Parts: sequence; C-alpha cells; structure tokens
Amino acid sequence: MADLTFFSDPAIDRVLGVVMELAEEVYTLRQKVRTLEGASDESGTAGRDAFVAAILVPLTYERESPSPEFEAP
Amino acid sequence: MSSVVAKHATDARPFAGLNVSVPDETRARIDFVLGLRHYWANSLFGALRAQYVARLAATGAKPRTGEEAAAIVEALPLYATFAWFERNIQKMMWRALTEACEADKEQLVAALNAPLTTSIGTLELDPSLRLPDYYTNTEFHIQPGGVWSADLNAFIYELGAKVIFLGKNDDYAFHRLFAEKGVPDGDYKDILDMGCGFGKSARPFVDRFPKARVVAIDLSAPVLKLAHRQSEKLGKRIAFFQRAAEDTGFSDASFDLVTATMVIHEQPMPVVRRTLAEAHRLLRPGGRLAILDYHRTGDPLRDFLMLGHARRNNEPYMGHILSVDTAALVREVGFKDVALLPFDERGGGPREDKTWPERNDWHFPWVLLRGRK
Repeated sequence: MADLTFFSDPAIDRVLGVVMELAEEVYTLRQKVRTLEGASDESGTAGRDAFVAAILVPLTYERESPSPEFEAP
Repeated sequence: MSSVVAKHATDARPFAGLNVSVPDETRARIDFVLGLRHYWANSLFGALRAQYVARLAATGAKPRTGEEAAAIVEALPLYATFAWFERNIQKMMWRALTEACEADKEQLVAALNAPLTTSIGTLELDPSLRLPDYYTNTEFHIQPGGVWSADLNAFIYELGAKVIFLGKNDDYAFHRLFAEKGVPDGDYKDILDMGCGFGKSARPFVDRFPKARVVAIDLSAPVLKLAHRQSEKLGKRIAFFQRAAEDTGFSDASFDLVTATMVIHEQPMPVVRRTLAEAHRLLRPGGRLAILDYHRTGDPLRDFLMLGHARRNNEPYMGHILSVDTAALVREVGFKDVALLPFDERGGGPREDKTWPERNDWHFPWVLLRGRK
C-alpha cells in the first residue's frame, strides 16, 4: 500500500527519504570512525544537533552568505 | 558500549533500566533521529510559523480556526517539508527502536514470560478478550504491528514512549506530574487507570496514594506483561487486568478515582462515550474522574497542524476529539464540576487560568479534563 505523500511530486517524498537514510548512515559512520580513532569529543548533543542543522539548514532557505538577489519563497 | 558514542547519545537515557543492550550503531541511529526531531520541532516549526505570520500580514487573512487556516498553511513553502518530516521521522524512529530491541529479542521475550519471583501486584490476562476492530486495524503512532501483536512490541513501544518526548520524559516526569497535580487530594481507596499501557501512567498513583488499591487495565497482553514485570521490579503494588475501558466488567460504584492518560483520543467517538459512561458507572458518589488528553488551543496554526498530526501519525480518531466539546461529553454522562484546563506537561501542570503555556517549539496541546460524580 502506498504511503502518504506530501509534495506536489511524490518523487520528492521518496528522494527526501533516501537523503535522510544516507544522512543517518553518515552520522552513524562518523560516530564509528571517532570511536575507532579514539577521538575525544565533549560536544554531546550539541555536536549532534550541529550535524543535523548542517544537513537540514537548506530546507529553511537560510544561507551563510545570503545573496541580495536571493529571496526565500 | 564505547564512551564516545555514549557521550553523543545523551538522549539515550531511555535505555537505562530497560535491560536492552543496544549496539553502538543503533544508539547512534536513535540519537540521529532524536536530533532530527529536535530540529523539526524547533527550527522547522519556527520557520513555518514565521512564514505563516508573514503570509497573514501580507494578505490580511484572519483565520479563526484550524480549518480556516488550512488553505493558508497548505500553501506555505515549508508546509510539505514539515509534514513529511513529522511522519518520516516517526517511521525512522520505529526502525531504529525495532533494531535496538531485535538485537536482544530472545532474551527480552523470554524474560517477559519467565515466572516472577515476587508477588507484590497481580496480572490477569484474558485470552478470550476480542480486541476491537478499531484497535487492531490501525497501527497507532505508525508502530509496525501496534502494541498488541507481539511480545517484543511492548519493549519497542516502551522505548519509543521515552524517545518521543525528546528526552524530556525521563523517569516519566510527565506522568508523575499528572498524578501529583492533576488529581485533588483525597482519601482514595480504589483507583482505576484505564488504558495503562506498560504501566507508566498507573505507577505514580501508587506513590501519591500509597494506601489506595491501584487497578490498571489495557487491551494489550504484551504491554500488560511488561507493566506487571516492571511494577514488580519497582515494588509498586498494582492489579493489572486485560480489559476494555468501555466495558471493564468491574462492579458499579467500586472506585473513588478513574483516570485515563492519552487514551480517549485513540478511540472512535462511540467508544469515547461508552468509556466515559463506564467511568461514571464505576465511581462511587463523589468519586473523581481525571483525564489527560488533547484539545484545541485556539491558535489556528497549531490546531490545523494537530488535525494533520492525526493523519500523519496514524491516529485516525483524534480528529473527533479535537472537534467536539469533550467537557460537554463528560457532563452528558452525568459528571458534575467538570473542568477542562490546559496542562503544562513540563512542570506547571493544570493551568487554572485556562491559558496555554507560551513556547516557541511544536508541542502537544495537553489538557486535564476532570469531573466529579
């Protein structure tokens, strides 16, 4: 049975799903690499949230260097 | 578990006391999903609200209800994204939680069914109980298989119930708050908690009213087995029964307090009415009813998103509870002194001035619904 879709083109729903699965995988692998390297990281939840924000910030049309021509829809 | 992953998984405190030895990778997965939820509830919701406010200012529209706001919100650039994340974060969460519990499946299921060495409380299952169609036909909260179809699902649900509150429900402070502030003082002898799940809503009543007999019912055998086992471990005396809230089989006037936490919004409206009538039947004169559930806030954006949450989170009957006057329903079955109060689940409890807690993040519109027989 098809799941709920939210975007005008259901392909976007599926692609976003793929992107999030990959992001989850990158985060998991990053943690594993840090463990293997014996890296010390005290950032805890803040580090995680910074990772998530870096992945998702384009969704809200925010840019570190906004262009005067760019106007968020 | 590696110390590095443990430091990152600061929201993985839900694992404490659950006897689930979650693999490092799975902890990182759950932690990531929690990070998504934080971002969704704060940044995405904040950005959506900003778009909503800007659109109202630009168009002069003044929606009064969630329904009137529908067309406006649906046309906002971020709405589809917000909605997508709400449903799909939940699905990602169940996948990660299932992976966590599957890793220890044999041990967990065996432990759930092993003989107990204590007999503080009791458990009475009813294998002949026919679970209602509305209950078995819906995977509530998108949990695969629901909470009733397999023993492991009880553990998955228990883990999910903590994760869903973004780490703010450790030790079930929310439920303790309801027991401590949602119910007036009194010499309660018999307390019934309807739809107790794995016991988190019933246990605080044992602490607050240690002299009372606490009875708790649910439809699901797996969660009742887990509820009984955890309550024994914690030394909480509770009598668990597998029974339906709308047809408990208990005698008339056999309780002084009936509670239902996060239950009636999952029931179809005819079942809600029967549940309330059953609560009234079970109470002695002067007995108290205390329900913790959802209600409209009067904020069109939040109310519209809540109506959509029902669909996005597989809670098909929630729209009904958001569309009727629940206080009137309680009065209709005979309760007096009925009050409906916004409930600040993060510490304040019921708000007698009937205002809603002001927050910037997305959060559920909890209310306390109380009455007296």
